Amino acid sequence: MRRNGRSDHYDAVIVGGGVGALTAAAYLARGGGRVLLLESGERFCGNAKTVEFAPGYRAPLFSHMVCGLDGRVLRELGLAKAGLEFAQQDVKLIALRPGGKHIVLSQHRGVSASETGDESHAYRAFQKEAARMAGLLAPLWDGTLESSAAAAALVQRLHLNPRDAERVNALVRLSAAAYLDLRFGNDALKAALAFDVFPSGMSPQEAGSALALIWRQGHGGVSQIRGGPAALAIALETAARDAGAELRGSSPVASIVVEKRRAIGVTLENGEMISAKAVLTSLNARSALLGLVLPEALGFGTAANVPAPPRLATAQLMLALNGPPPFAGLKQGDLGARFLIAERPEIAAEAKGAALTGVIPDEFVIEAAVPTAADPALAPPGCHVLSALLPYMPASPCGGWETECEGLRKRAMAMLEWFAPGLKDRVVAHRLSIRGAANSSPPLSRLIAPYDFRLRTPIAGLFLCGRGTEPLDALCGRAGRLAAALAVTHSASGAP
Amino acid sequence: MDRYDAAVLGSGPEGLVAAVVLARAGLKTLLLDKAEAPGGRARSREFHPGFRASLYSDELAAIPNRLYRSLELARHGAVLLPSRASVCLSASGESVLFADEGLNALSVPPAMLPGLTAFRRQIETARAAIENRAALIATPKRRRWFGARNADDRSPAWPDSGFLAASLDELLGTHICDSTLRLHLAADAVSGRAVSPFLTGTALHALAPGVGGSGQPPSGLGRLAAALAAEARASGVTLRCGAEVTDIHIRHGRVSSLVVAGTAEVETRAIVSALDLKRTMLGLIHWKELPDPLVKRVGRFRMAGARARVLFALDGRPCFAFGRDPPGAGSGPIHVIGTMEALSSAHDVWRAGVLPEAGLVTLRVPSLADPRLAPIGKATMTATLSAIPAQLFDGPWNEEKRSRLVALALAAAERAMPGVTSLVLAHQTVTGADLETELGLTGGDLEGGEIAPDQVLGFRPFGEPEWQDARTPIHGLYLAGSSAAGAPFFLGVAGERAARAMLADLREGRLK
Amino acid sequence: MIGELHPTPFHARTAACNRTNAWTTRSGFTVPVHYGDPAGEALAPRMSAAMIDISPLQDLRIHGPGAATMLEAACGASLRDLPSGRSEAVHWCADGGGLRGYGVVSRFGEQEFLLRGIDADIGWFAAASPRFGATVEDVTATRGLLLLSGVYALAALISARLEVSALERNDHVGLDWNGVPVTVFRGTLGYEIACTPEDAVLLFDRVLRAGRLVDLRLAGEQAFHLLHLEAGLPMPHADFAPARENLATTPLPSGLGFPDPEGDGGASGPVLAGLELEAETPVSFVPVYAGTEEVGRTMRGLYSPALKSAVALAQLSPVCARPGTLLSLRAAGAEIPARVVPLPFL
Repeated sequence: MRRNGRSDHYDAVIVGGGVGALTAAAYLARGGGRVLLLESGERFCGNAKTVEFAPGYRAPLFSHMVCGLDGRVLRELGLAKAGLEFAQQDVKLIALRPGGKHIVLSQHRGVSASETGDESHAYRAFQKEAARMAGLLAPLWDGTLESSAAAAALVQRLHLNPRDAERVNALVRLSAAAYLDLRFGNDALKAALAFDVFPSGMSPQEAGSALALIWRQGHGGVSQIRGGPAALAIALETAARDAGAELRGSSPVASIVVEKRRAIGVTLENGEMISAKAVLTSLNARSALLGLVLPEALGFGTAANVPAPPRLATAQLMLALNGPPPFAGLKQGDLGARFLIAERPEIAAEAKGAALTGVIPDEFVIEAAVPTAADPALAPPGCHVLSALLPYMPASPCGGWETECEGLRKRAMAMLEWFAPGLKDRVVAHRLSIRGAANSSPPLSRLIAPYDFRLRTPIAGLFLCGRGTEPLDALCGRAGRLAAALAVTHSASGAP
Repeated sequence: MDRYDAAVLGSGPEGLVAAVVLARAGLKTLLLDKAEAPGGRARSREFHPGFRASLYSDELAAIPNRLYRSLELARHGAVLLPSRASVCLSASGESVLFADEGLNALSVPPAMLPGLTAFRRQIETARAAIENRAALIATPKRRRWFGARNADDRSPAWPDSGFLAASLDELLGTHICDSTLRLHLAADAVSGRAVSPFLTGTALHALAPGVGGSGQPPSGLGRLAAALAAEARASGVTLRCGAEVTDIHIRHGRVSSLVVAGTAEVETRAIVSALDLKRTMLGLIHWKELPDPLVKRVGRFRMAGARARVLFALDGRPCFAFGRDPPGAGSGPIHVIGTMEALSSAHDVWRAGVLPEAGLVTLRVPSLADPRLAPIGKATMTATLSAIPAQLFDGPWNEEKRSRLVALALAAAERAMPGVTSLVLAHQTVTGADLETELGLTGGDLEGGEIAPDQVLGFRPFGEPEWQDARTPIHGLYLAGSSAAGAPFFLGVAGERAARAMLADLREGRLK
Repeated sequence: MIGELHPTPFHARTAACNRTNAWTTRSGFTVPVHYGDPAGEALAPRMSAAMIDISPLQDLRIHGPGAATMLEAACGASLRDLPSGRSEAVHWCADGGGLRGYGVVSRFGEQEFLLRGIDADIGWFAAASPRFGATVEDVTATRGLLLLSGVYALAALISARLEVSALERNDHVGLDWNGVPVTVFRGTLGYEIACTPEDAVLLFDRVLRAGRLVDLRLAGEQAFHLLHLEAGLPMPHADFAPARENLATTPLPSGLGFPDPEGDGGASGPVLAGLELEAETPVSFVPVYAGTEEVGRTMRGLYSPALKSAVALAQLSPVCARPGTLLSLRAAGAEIPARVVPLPFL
């Protein structure tokens, strides 16, 4: 369809081709709209990559395990039929401790370890309460409760009874460490549970990190995708194409066209202009608003309030091994778990403190996984891949990452070696990657704000659906689904 | 055995205010303190012949005007002089902020003025809202002992939600883009504490700044204590100093009597404790009287001191290295700090129990505004060092460690007042450990508990209904000190609230 | 003089210190309102000392054979016996009894008097002087006048080597201060130092330099007004309108804190009282109520940083003027509680 001499008119155009973007495209296309997705690279994966970092060895980039994958997205888009498989579900968390006395935590099977004794009962109670709290707060996260102009108190709009309201109010102020302190006695168990808040960017000692803990507990268990996150991207791409969305690769977008504070389309770098009723993007707010929108289209105050680049980053060490990693004291079948290495509970807070000042911390937390245990296809037969996430790193350290990464790699190796003696002899290849945090806006405000606060931008008709929109940095797809819904409402309400 | 209607423990400003309110209502009130003179933290001392200074802090939190008026403090001699200006010397430059808006036009770039005004207005509005809420004492319909809660008893919420999610850096960043000015305001907020301005929930420090806000009375804070004590005596309070309370006896879940100095027993209907939470609940009450979860909970209340003070007697007036000698700048706080990141590292180092290499040091030359503090021609200088652990990891405070504090203070002072080291005649250090021994503050924490979202206002000390509005799960025991609501934000409010809660309970027959 | 505004002899220095450029006028002179910190300047007399340029205060030189008689007839005080070198506080009334003004009379010689006051009522005295055989001259412009007020004012002067420690209240002394002739008068509010306009800047510098040792602060007109109010002295034209022969209002001296020259009628008329308001915003010239009954009227209200409340002087019926009485003011529809406090406020 030609309109005013410009290129085609779509119902929605999506800038960027990651998980969130593909999900949005799929939903919008299923809803009957004409959708165009523009990705600047050749492949539609965004951050969901599985990289071949050594011949024959592939490793998931950063998201070696996923938590909080939106169940509705899986069902409604039929991703299983599109080829998405899970290598394992309900991945255990094993907190590695010296002497082989590891603590094993599982969503369904509770806690088991030699030291923790009767904490399993407390753990069940904790899971139950966390699930209940998450249920109360779910409308904030799953798209039921929108921001409203009437600034009624959060607990009132959630329609909580006074006792629950009081609990939520207290929870919003608590740190994960204090919250767990109230329920558990065993320090090691507390530390193991507390570290799961690192995708929020907060340390377990910070006020409000209890809410991040609730989010994680409330969004079900951790699973591993067969083939790594790239498989998720491929499945979503299939689903999107099947639904009728038009996916265009190698089409970098130059700018988002804004007229009278409304997004009405995009301009490609080759000059082609595409108009649409709504524009979605999986880029973060800063890149979208400051990079793609022309300065005159954005209010001065709004531009000044766009969040600053994040100060924190996560590092990932990928190791190609010619045999299974020799973790001491593991039982049969435990190799597929998530391994948590942290010597003391205060390490997270100290690491974050150091990272904020641009210094690579001396001691850090490691979450390691061996994807090949459940998904052997990622490596040659008998060989394995180990992926270790190192959160609370500085985004730009004082010496620059080029000089610092070797030192960090050595220290991480040393820590892994301590729990897996002989690991370094099995290493065939390695790679260290750094990825900045998704965004730098206050993590607590993302947790307690209704979902559309995170997805809307100051420009009407421009929505975010990428990595930075979830309260925690996790591969979900939920943002794509919700952004699509917002875009539909927007188009229906006032399309020119 | 003596009989009183109410006994107040601790003769700091909060305890004195509580005693005055109770005595004015006609109750036979006894005020006990283990020190030889009343005053608590409002103490000044002649630390060198002819040189006086306030010992623990130059200024305390602001006293609400209506409380100041009703206590007749001006007539008792405690006229409070607010700081005229605050100076910050940092790695990125120097900045001077005046209390008067007009003068700020001279020292702050015009582009920053609207942001500064907006920030101050936001803080003022929030503090006014908190003060209004503090004036309410909710009266519960029913109260049960230890833990069982009545879902109908809800105390109205405290208006601090706007500051919970933000970090101090973000809060300042929304109004002020200039990093020097931001660092200055952050230093004002966290002086005397160990805070990393990037962590969630630290915006609360802007509401209860570490530099205080009460102003300084003539010849130091001791005058404030004297004025309060004079008003207490005039109201009919029996003031007994040098009397340490060692036990509180509880019978059938109610306060029955207390024991002074291990021997003398005083029977009383109610006790208002202006001591901190841990000392009250764990130090004075026998552990068998309290249920185990309560004991654990109180133990988990986070209290950790982070301040040390060094008082200097100077042989002459120092000359200042900044600006054009702005009027009155020396008598207000002068912060010497590196960068915002330095505050964050100081916090990490403090947690480890180590002395920082160079942290935030807040200097003052109070004798410039008050000639009583030093002989004519000479000067008194105070240095408040932030992020100093109350207990160092490698043992107790000794002369060598104290001299490290002096060195830290002088290094910062040289930056602000070149040549001041040669003027030093004498000095005295006050560490967190001294705060614990002299004032009885657990952990040497002058604030009475960490200022964090889960430990302030409606959640100070705890959020449950039985702890709201100065009450405790024990009938007849009320909390008035720095661990009670209102405390780090205002002075005197916690004491007044405890007294009013007690009077309300008495009036409605909840106290026999 | 009408319609002209002049700088005071200290203008060169006060202008340099008046960085926020806040000026006002009184009696034909421009003076700074404050020097950037009104609250601190108001507190300075309580903490250390304050120096105020009070050159606009009016000085009348009354001399001649009939000077003493005229003054005695006007002010009612036994000024004939006033020894040379001493001063006395006086007030003078209109023929109908209302207060016209108050001030201080200093005797410099047998027939040499100086009347100093905020409004020295030059015209009135000048008109009456020929009948008594006295001469009245306005000598305000021939001198600069500084006020040093506060607990450390004497210390400041002594450290400036101005030997006035023996000076008693209501005394004045003429000194030669290292080549600068000055006259120092010790009044209710502090030490008033007069010098010639040529020496003004020198005097200013010397006092300020010496005063640094005791943190002497420059204060402006705002602090000066507050000092009067906190001392319980109502200022003519600001707090009350002085009586004029043909004007309706005749403020009785008793209602302004002065003894009635007639001696009677003071028991039933309104008396001067101090009110401390339970508020920080000052209100002026509003009625005062005890319950629903109106019992008096306030004069001008100001905010006192020392007392941390708005204060005002008021004229109240004697039964309500006892210190401690709780009253209320009605201003702009709101009711403000107030308390009678003894004068002076501080």
